Amino acid sequence: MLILVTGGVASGKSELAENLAVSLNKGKMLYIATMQAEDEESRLRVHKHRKMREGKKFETMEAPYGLSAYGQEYFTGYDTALLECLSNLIANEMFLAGKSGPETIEEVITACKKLNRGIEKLIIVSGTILGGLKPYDAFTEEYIRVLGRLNCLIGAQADVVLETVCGIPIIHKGKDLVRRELA
Amino acid sequence: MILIIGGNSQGKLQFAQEMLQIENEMISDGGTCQLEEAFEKPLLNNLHLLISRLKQQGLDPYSFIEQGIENKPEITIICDELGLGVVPIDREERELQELTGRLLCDLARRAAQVYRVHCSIPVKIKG
Repeated sequence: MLILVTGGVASGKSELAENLAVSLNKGKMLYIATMQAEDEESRLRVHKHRKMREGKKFETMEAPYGLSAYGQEYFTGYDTALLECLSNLIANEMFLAGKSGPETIEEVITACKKLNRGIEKLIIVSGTILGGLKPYDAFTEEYIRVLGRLNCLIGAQADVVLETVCGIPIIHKGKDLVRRELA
Repeated sequence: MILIIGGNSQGKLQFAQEMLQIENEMISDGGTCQLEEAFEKPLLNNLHLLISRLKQQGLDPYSFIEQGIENKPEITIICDELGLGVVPIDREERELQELTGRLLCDLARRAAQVYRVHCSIPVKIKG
């Protein structure tokens, strides 16, 4: 089962996705962390997320980019995995690994397919950017396009698509599959 | 407390006025009102601007808003979903986006009803 959890900044998507993973899980759980903590603010964020995960029994794997190059064995033996989060992964692929938009899309789709093959329940957390008036630089514009495109591609394949709004889950697809877990 | 959220210029205020049947003088604007009067009227508009002003003045938005709701539990609050935009480069703006999102999660938990207005259409997402 593939679940996509989207939502704006600080809309409660991580907490919802983690709780969903815990309630769906029937075996080992993998947490794929994509944030590269290079400054104080990122370190604080990582620390906050680790705190939130404490006691939830995730095995953590840190992969800021290049997820598709990992062997299938990294993603085998888990019942549930949480990829947190696509917005970071995309930024890292484009900014740190220097990939173009189309290369990033190909990389992320290949990685997601690999994850989905090995893992029974895959939850992907992603951001939503619904635009704004400010003219952004070319890099940011491309980033927004890639994020939107990947959300669409993954959403189309997903069994469940959720959006968090102020911590409240809105189910856009696959209501019956998660109704009990979200009740 | 009733919470109304959505992107900017989606018709949140118009929906609130129709639902509550109130005139303009019954509305506080979080962007311009006296801080101590923010929670005195039945409807508080632009909570995100109030949060920004409180932060600028070094006041704690969490306790200020909590106090306000305690004094006026039947209030209706309107706020923009700042989290739908790009994460700002400016640190202050980034903190404001994060703070507003977290506060909205808190408020939604406490609200009796939550509406999200999109292109003038209100959707009740809680209550």
